[in-house]
Amino acid sequence: MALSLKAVQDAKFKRVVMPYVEYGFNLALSLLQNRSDAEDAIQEASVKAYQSVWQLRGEDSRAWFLRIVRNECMNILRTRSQARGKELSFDDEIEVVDQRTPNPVEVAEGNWTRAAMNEAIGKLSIGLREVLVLREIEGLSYQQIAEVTGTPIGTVMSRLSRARTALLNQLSGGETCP
Amino acid sequence: MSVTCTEVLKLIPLYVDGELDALRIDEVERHVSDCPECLGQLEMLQRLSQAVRAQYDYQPLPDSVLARIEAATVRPLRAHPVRWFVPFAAGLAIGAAAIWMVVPGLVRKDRFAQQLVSSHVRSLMLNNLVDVPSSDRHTVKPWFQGKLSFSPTVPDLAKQGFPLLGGRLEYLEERPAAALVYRRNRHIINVFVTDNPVFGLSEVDSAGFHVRHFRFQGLEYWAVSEVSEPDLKEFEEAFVASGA
Repeated sequence: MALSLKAVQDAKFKRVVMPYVEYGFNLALSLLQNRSDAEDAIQEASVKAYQSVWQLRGEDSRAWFLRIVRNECMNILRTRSQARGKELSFDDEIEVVDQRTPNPVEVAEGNWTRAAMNEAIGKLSIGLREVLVLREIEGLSYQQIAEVTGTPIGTVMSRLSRARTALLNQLSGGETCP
Repeated sequence: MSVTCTEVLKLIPLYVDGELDALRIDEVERHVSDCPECLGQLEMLQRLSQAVRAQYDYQPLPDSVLARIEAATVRPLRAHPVRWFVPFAAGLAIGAAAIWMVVPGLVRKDRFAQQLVSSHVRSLMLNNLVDVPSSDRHTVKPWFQGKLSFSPTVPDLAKQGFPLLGGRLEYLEERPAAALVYRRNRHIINVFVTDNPVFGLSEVDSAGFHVRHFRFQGLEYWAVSEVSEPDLKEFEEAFVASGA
């Protein structure tokens, strides 16, 4: 006798994936910088997660789902790059990051405006932006970020450090390094 | 031994991110209490971290997007809305309701199968596989004494390719039950045991899972796993043969 157990699949998806859909949506927004694309990415990622939710065996479901979302975003970014005739690059050095030292007075006050903060985050390269968002907004550990991005922990730490330095530089408007 | 500024500066991001163990946390805190430069660095990173979280333009998931996701996943597929479908669907609903009322046992069977698979999945997900971890049946079987009103058979099936991993207590259909845990290669087999003879599911196929039921020495056994159907059948035969 064969019985459909879709209800079990639904229940598992609701329990282990649905709590993180909003996190995934915000990750997609930060990576794609486009609301319509982010909506498409989170829907596609959710469908893929639903189809493969049985494969989840005790591992961290948030990191698992965010990895699916991240991969979906990368597919969209690659398509965009190909349309422009360029290769998608994660090389942080190619992206424009202000190399200035932070202004100590502004840093000490730390009262940046919301608009300035989000503009500065938006200017980070994709590689730096994703580790910053995964750490500060999604609250993931270094190990979880490594799992989501498919990079070694050392790279995660290095990118996070550079993201913070670049952010401070942009926010503080300090002097340009020689 | 006190740590140097160079060492502490490397540790400060990990401190802010909660990635240090207690010993390292203590080292950093003792150092910055006497070092204004390192303290300044630590406070700068903490302020930045707090500012990013407070100021980040976090967006709630739009209801329309959530509805699209639910329609594409957890909700059953719908037929295209054509006019003849309405009376057809109504007839179908009445038929389904009649079946639900006339054959409640079937519905309960389905629900019980789902309950078994859910328990199996939950045991894999929550690091909750065994309460008594042991490959020794003489440890696992006595562990259930005093916890259940029956004593399950716990055969040693290692030679047949199904090593015992242990056991745990379960609760099925509002009654305590035993769960015996075996392994087949990398896959887990949960064997649920009750003295409740209400449901007789001989075998059930589901999305990636199999459930096999057998009655053995007066008790009800349900083996649940994602192993192949022949493997689960082989397990049942080995289980029954070992106790014969």
